[in-house]
Parts: sequence; structure tokens; C-alpha cells
Amino acid sequence: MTALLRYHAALLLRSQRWLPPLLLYAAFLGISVQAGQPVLDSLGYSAAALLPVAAWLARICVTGEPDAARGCVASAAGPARAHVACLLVALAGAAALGTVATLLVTLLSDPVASDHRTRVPLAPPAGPGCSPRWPAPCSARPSARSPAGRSFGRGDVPCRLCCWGRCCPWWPPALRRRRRCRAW
Amino acid sequence: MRPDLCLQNAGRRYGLRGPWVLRGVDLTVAPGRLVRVEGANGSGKSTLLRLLAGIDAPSEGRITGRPRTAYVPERFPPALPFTASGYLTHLGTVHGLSRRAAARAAGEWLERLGAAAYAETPMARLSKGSSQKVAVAQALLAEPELLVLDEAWTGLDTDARAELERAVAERTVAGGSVVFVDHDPRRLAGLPDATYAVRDGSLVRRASREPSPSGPQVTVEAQGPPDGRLPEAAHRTATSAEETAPGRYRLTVPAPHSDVLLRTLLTAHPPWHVVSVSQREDTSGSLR
Repeated sequence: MTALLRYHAALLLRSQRWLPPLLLYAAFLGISVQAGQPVLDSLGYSAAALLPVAAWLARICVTGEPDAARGCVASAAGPARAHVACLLVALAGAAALGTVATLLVTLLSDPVASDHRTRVPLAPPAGPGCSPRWPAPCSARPSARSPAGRSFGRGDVPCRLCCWGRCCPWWPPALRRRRRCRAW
Repeated sequence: MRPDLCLQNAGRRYGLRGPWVLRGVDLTVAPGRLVRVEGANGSGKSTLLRLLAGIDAPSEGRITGRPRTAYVPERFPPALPFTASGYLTHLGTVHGLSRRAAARAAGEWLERLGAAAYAETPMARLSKGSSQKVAVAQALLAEPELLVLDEAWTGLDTDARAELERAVAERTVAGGSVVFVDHDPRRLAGLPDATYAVRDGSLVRRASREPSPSGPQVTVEAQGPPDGRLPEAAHRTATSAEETAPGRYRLTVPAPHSDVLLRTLLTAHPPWHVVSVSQREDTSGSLR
């Protein structure tokens, strides 16, 4: 498997087809994230943009190899393993990109919630943000609502949807508005 | 001893409701066998070879006894961002060699096929024939147990074709199986243990030794110890063996197998003395 991963990683890096998604991601972050913006908003934007970029990378890895070359590798290692290796390389690429973006965005942004008053400790949003990117703003919620000090309750589901809404600009406005009514 | 590769009632169609390209195929490929597959264009030969190579799974039926496999496609695209030796090293490690062994085998095979000069050339700049040589080398460098050749000779020059035929002979003698498709009836003529034809989506076994022209033959005269018996392996390789004097034999062997026979004789215990080697004219036409 190591040999397969190395082969596919070399194929991806040398083909330079990773450049367009990287540029797109950088451009999106450049437009949507500004220094001094609340950290959770910025992380939300960077997480939302990572999803299509990861999908694009996966597509590049899977389709980057000509059919005949793919056949040679598949007969040597088995088609399933060859395919899994493609996807793992794409996943690793997206994870690396996400980690770098999270660190940059966390350093550039203000450690405050969207109301610009509540302080947000940096470790919780950046930590989980590095691996499974999109739950980052949600997992930061406990610190934001810590004054209320209540456990997970009925109102949490809409709140979670709200914080997703913050990540996704295309979320219905009704849901995005709800964030005002709860802990934040 | 590894088990035979068996296709049991295997069928293949592309898509859930597509027409059957192949159906009800029963085929056993034992170790050391050379199998030829024939058929018209579009009859499903390549599909059968892809099933054998393990690239596609059968839509029905099953395949058991998968050995270490290598596959040579008919056309190998050079659109890969590697140099020839870099690509071969990667493929060698995928086949299970260490990086160093893979790099060494890559160099050896490129040299055998006459492409050593292109080892450091980016594959995008290789000609069609040279990239086909890379495709052949990637399949041979790890000494696979099953070699699947889909018109692998297409585009190779004369020397490389002969070298590939010798490599096939070496693989079968070393206990590997080889399945090949080629439209030239003289390709490895007289050597296949079985010939199958793909017709109307099913596989038909051709009667053995049906009028297939015999290819070029090589006559080897060898002298052993006075009461020496010919080594068993030499008996298997040679098509005819005739004792001209006590301990002296005249052996006739298909040209691709001549190196294998000489190696057998020279490494026997006690070693045999090779008196002469001569090539007989091909009975069915020019030597390709």
C-alpha cells in the first residue's frame, strides 16, 4: 500500500493538476477572510470552501491516470486497493490544505465570537478544525455558551443548524437568523 | 505450488443492462502454461484478458486462485509525468520489489528491450514504440506468476519482439503462466499449450496443434557424458531430440526457447558441451 500511495502522490504532485484547486481556494480565502474578522466566521468560510476543493482533488487523483496505466497498476495491486490509494492521497492533500488554512486563518483572525464581544479561546476551534474541518465552529460552541452553563438540550439542534448556517452562505436566511436567539 | 487460475462460468457486461460481452466462460490456466486467445476485433478478447488480469471483476460467475499478475495493454499512453526509469521503479515497488531492486530491474529490462538510452527521458517525449517497451518492462520486471499480454507486440521493433518472445519462454519455463492475444498467427507459433477463440461472446477451445504454422526453429548439437541422458527440462523444451552418437544429441527447439534450452544444458550437472547452434529457415515464410 505504501508503494501505491507513493506512486499516486508522485503522480498528483508531478502532474501539477493540484494547482487550479489550490489557487481557487486561496482566492476564495483571500476574498472572504480578512485580518481582524471574528475567528469562528473565518473558520466557517475556510471550512465551507474546503469541501468543493477536496472533491476536486479527489476527482483529479481518480482521473489523472490514463486508462492503460491504471490497468497495469490494478492488475499488480488489485483494482480496489489502487482506487483506495487514489482516494487516500486526495484525502491527505485536502487535509494538508485544511490544516494550513486553519492555522493561517486562526492566526489572522480576532479570537472573538460574531458579536465582537465574547472572547473565544483559540485552541478549541483550531484543534478540531485541523482534522474534520466543518464541525469546527460547532465544537467551539460550549465555550461561547459557557455562561449559560446548561447541557445539551432541545434547543441545541436548531442552534447547531444555525452555526452550520454561518459556515454556509447559501443556508436559508431563516436558519441563519436564529443564531441571534440562542447562546450567541 | 500455487493453485490454478480458474474462471468459472464467468460473464462480463458493461453497465447494469448492457449486452453481454462474454458469458459462460470456463477457463483454467495452470502454472507454466502458455495460452493463446484469438478472435476478431471487438469480439471480447480484451475483456477476457482484463478479467484474467484482475482489472475488471466478472459480472457473473467467479474467478479463483489469483496469482501475482502483470498486464501489458495494447497501447500504452506516454501521458505520465515520470521518466521511464522513474515510472518503472514506482511500478516495481507496487509489484512488491524494494526500491533498489526495482530500479535495478528497470535498468536491466530497458536494456534488454533496447530502450536503455531513454531511461531518463520524460515519458511524454517517448515514441509509441518506446513507451510500449516501458509497458512491457513494467510487466516483466517483477517476474509475475501470471503475465497477460494484450497485443503487446504492437509497435515494438523486430529486436524487441524477439526479446519479448524469449521473455515469454523464460516465464513459462520458470513456472509462470502467460496468456496472450496477437493477430499474427506466427507469434510464438507452435508453442502455446492451448489456443482459445472468442466467438459470439463465448470461449471455444481450438483443437490442439490445429494448422498453426511452426515458427523459426533452432538446431542445437550438444555433447554430454558418454552415457549421459538428456536433462528432463531439455526434453520438455525441445520439439525433437535425436541421438546421433553416444551422448551426442541434435535438438530442435522453437527459436524463442533456444536460450532457455542452452541455459538448461550449460547449467546441468554435469554440464553439457554445446557443439553448434544453427537456425533453420522458417518453413512458413520470413522470420519476423
